[in-house]
Amino acid sequence: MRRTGLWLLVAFVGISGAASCSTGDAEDEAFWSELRLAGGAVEAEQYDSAKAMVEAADFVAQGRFVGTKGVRLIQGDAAEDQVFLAQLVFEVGQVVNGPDSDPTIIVEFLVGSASEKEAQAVVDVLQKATPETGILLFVRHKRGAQESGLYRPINSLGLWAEREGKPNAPLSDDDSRAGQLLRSAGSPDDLGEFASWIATQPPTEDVAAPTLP
Amino acid sequence: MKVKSATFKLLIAGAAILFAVPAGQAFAGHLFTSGTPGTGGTTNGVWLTDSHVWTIGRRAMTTANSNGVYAAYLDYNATDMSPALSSPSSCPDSSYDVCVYDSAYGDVGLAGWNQCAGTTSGSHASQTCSLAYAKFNQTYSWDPHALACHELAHGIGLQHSNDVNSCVYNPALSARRYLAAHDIEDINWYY
Repeated sequence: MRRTGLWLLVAFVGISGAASCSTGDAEDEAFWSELRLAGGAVEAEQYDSAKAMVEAADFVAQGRFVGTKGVRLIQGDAAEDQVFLAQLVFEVGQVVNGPDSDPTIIVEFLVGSASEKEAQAVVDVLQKATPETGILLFVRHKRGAQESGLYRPINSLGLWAEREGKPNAPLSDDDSRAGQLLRSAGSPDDLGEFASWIATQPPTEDVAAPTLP
Repeated sequence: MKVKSATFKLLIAGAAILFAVPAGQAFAGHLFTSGTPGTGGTTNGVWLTDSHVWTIGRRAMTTANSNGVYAAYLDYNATDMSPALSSPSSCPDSSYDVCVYDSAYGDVGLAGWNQCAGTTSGSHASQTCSLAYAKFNQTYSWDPHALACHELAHGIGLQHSNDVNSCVYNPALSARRYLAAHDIEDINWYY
């Protein structure tokens, strides 16, 4: 569903303003640095414009993380081949584009830890450093086996926060691609303006999500 | 270590400058690490390996993906690296520099990634990892040769390339299966 740009702007000013009293960019960085893709990954979904991102996402939501749920283990074929996912609780403040969502959803992030103990330590850091600031999330409903009801950002440019008052993609280490994506959205000055632009795009429900092999 | 190209002297200079810039600012060089220190492990980064002698283990891989790693191994064997490829029943840090895995890791958003499963030494941007894990996610479709070339590159310190013909270019596509000339120059210069 679409919302008016002014409505979104007001919602964002409210969330960001309240959060700015209790946290800041430096504190937030402790959180994002645990989740950032630092150059060694091949992403399954890559898009060359914000419009394509909106079309590809299952929905785009404004909201904030409110805590952690825990660690999920995926066991590979070899005994030592274990993958750990941090589960974060995302409170949906407003669906900017797409169908309505549950008020809270579980969003998973890969962590590179080699053991469950290390992964839990990462989750503990995430719990303590959870930013209070509002974010924009391009949401993918996970489609893997036994992943119903779980979500992820569609890629490392699918999560936007503010840094020094400007839109920032904290999961990405590629400032060039992030800048390209923002320019394709008319170079919004802040997250509220970005959300307003997203709200004007064709609804995500009109476009089929890519299917897994 | 021999300096074979003035270009790479500039890369070294760039690495030195990196220590002076604030955290969060990206370094434009191609060879050098970008690992993000975590609490106990390190997430999805790029590290150097400790020498040109490079032991690669294929752990419990499908034939198609194992063949992809072999094809990439041949590419690296044509550089100054001295790779040794095997299919071990375990992957101890003492015996291997990188082990490659393929499983259905689910809809995690990543087709493949590289992580440090051993110990790191040195500091960014010349940090070394004693044992890297390269993971190929069978939940998605990709070209085994291209993905192997890409992830193994990260395991020896190559960051994403700006060359669309390089397997280290991001995004990795099946049309990019091979190291580009400058990738090989970087590898040969460092190792």
